[in-house]
Amino acid sequence: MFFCCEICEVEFRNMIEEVKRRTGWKTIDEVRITGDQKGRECTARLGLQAFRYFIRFSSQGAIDTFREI
Amino acid sequence: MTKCAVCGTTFQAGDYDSLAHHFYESAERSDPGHVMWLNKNITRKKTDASELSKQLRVYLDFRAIGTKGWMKKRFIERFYGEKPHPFVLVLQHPSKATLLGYVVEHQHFLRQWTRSCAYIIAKTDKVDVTLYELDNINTEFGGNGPDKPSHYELLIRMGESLGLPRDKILGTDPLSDTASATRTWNEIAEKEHWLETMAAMHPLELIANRNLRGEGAKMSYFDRSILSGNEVTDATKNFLREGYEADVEHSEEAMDLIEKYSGDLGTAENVQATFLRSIDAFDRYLMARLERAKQFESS
Repeated sequence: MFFCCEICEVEFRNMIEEVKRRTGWKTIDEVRITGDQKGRECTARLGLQAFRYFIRFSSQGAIDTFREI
Repeated sequence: MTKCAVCGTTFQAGDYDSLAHHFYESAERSDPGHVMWLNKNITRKKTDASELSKQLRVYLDFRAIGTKGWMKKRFIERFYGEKPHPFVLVLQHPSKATLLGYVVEHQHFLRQWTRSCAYIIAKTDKVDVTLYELDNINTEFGGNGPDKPSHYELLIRMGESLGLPRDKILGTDPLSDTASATRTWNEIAEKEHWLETMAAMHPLELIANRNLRGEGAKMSYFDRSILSGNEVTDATKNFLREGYEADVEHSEEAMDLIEKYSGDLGTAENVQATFLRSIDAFDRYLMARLERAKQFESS
């Protein structure tokens, strides 16, 4: 996996951790992400299961807002 | 000179090839600041230096609309464009937590504001600039007697009206993004030309310029109806109304001065770079207000 910078890597790791925590999934097959730094709408999938959420990050990559959709 | 809006590295005026090369090399090193600036302002797609040079040239071209028009356009794009800033969205009909977040962080902004304006006065030799800054400092921070409290005093009173004691407000340190933003503005004021400091500070008053709706902004700073209903406290109305009334003139007059002197001094490109650096800091600072608001929501 490639990231444009370390902040994006931190954001990605934090997001995956949070999705796993909320869903109880041990793994994630796919994440689709749309949006920008003002906020992103995402769909995580495991098999036929889907988990939709809105996420926004702070300037250092921590999760600022996480809202299940 | 042409200057990088992220790190201040300078190039010959109009040398967008070198500026592009600088950004390209920084992106190849995955430098977060440069990458994020490109993502937010130019493109998120990987682009070669030659194409990037063309895109930077277009982005920075102010000849058709002037420096003032260009700064307004970029400001509206960033804060009032198709996706307005998240803080602006919640300020339309603000919760108590949103307003408290605003109070606690904005006091630090206003203190830095005064320092930055003082640097301008110390460095400039232009009488009209000095007079403008003196008036601005008084309106924002000093006040003009008991019947005309400053925006700073009105801000504190807003916090008190929402149940937060004055000593608690004044005793709260800024969040890290607010502190980082004020450091950026202080550094600009200390090190850069006074005109660049003006360009760093006064266009930020566009955030409350109600006339931007007529220039393409998707919304105003807040929904005007809250000034007349019972949605917010009287002290909140007093604070928001002050900005609503004063910031049109503040921002427009300052930007006229910036355009006038950047034309005279040939420093328009430096002004652009510093302006861009400043609105980046402002973006993060507005997010800090939201972060503080969340603390009040959960307490």
